[in-house]
Amino acid sequence: VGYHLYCLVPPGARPSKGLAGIDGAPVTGLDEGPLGLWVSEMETAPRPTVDGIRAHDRVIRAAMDAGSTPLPMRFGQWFSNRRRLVDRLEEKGAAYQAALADLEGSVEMGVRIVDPSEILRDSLREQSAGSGREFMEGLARLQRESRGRDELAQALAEDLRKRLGAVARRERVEPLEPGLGVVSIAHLVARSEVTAYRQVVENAGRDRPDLSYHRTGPWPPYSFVE
Amino acid sequence: VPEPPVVRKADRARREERMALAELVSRVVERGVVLSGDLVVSVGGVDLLYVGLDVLLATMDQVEGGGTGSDKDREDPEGKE
Repeated sequence: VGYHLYCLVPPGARPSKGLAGIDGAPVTGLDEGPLGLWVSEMETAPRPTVDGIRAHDRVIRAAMDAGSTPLPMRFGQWFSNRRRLVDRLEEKGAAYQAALADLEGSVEMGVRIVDPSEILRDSLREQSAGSGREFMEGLARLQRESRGRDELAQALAEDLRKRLGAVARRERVEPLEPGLGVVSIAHLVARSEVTAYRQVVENAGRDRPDLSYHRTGPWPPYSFVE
Repeated sequence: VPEPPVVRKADRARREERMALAELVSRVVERGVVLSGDLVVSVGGVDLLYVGLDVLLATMDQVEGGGTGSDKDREDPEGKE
């Protein structure tokens, strides 16, 4: 039988009874040496559907809500049998054990910063689709304005970095394509600092009324594992 | 006097939904621990390693809307040994 792997956890950590994973498959906990694994038995590798992705995340969140910080797997880690899964684990087992210890007590928080005027432009562009001249003029304007987007993304990340100080243990900055926002920033934060984090980001957003700060999280630490 | 342009309510809701989905998908599909090597996930025969997230989301929108899912496939994540 094949196994889809959701996350690595400390040994002994077990999913609650009835926890359903991808396609409603039951989630079970296995221990392999110093690591615990949350898996579903699946004959074939799961397809990357939105529902499947949501289910994958839901299981990892359940592990996080159970108390320990899990190492979230990227979607699609499927093995044709337990032996192959264990072989792969053994190659990096010590590193994963260290990562679990390093991340314990932390969660990932996120903020997506959006320029509402950019969205307004996109919306107008869509509404005027079919009007060739307006569409091309809109595109040219977007191209001119996009030149400064990366610089803006880095400046916004720098501003948050200064404000957060020791509240953020690590960060990951991802400038975005027009239409999805200016930048998405992930921060690794101690569980006990989540409220402080939200307040800092709210204050930062208040100081930039020209932009929208969309807070997300807590997430399992997807952005801080490899 | 014409009224100033505004983002339509439906557009705003759709964009916010897409942003929330983008936050989720970018984490679950592009990040996280990779144990089984360089798995290749493809949608409609297009390798997702070479397309942007927005393309992925647009493709998913179509697939979810169409409800067939028949054009999705993926390679063996364990690779051919």
